[in-house]
Amino acid sequence: MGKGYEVLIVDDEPIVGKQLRLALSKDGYSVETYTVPSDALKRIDEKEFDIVVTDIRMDDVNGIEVLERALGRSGKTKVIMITGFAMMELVRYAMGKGAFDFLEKPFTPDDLRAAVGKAVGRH
Amino acid sequence: MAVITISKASMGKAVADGIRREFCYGYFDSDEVFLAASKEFGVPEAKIRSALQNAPTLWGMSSATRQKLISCYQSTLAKFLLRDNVVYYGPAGHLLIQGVSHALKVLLWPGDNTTCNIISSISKHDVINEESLYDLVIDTGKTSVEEAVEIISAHALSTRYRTTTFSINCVKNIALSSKVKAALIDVDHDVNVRASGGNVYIHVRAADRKRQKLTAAISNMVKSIRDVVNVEVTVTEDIFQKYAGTYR
Repeated sequence: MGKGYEVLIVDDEPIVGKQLRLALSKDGYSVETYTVPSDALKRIDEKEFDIVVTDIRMDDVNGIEVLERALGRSGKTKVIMITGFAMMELVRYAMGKGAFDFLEKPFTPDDLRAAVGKAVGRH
Repeated sequence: MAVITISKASMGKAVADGIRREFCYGYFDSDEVFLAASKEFGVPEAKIRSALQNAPTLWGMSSATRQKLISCYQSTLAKFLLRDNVVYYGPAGHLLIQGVSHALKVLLWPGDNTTCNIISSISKHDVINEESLYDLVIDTGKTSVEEAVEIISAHALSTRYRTTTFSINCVKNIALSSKVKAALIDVDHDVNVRASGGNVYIHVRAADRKRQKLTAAISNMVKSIRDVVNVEVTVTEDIFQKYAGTYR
């Protein structure tokens, strides 16, 4: 189902990226994971991704910056925000900035698969 | 897209109807919620209506009964909102559905001279954004039905109010936590219930000697409720019950 779709995942917790990569790879997505957000930004500048999944609270670069950079690179990219600190205003802010979906941690791999599947469906 | 809650007001029904037609949305009002809540929880409709619409009186229903009935209404209202792309016209939507990012909460304010002045001093467009309870306050003294529909529609189309996985889960959590609360209010009318993805966290106060028995009783009761996956009960000591017990 995910064959041919390029996904970039940014989360400063290595275990999160590893698990999400595993879940999405099973569905055929081509996945790149980054634990250093600035490296992810560089990669976004180099390459257009279909889907970007980003944590919001990270050390040097926050998820909103990743969102802006990804959408600045390509309006076709769908950005899914993930965070353990979800609040209504933050969700509205991210959605207002153009995020495609918002998930609260902890979530199951199936939750992410569903969100990514929805994003692919609208691609 | 957003779900829209509109408070009861003189031209509220006309505005709700206008939005329903504008977006081809579903529509429901408090009468439907009262009826559905009554069926689901086996409580007379008139009692739920009274708990929500009538002010507390000295000799009226107890605070615990009122809270229980309001929880029944809240749970049913949340389930209705899960349909998505709907307009709700009725009381307390802004209070009962809090923290849901795709719920656009609208207050139609019947402006008098005082309120008009306050509103005018804040916004040229007779609209206030009040983040705490409402997203949008519209002065019906200065705004026609058509204009109100236009203002609400413009806001509803904003991506800020787009449905997300998180916001849908929030509505599900409200539906479940209020259902559990309704079941537990007879145990402790100050019961605190939080739900997250089928996990239910309950906090009650009780005398220390009742702690174990109460925890087991609550767990068993709540586990039988549909959609509950796991129950975590915290009992803190009720000081009043503790001292009352020593004088028995």
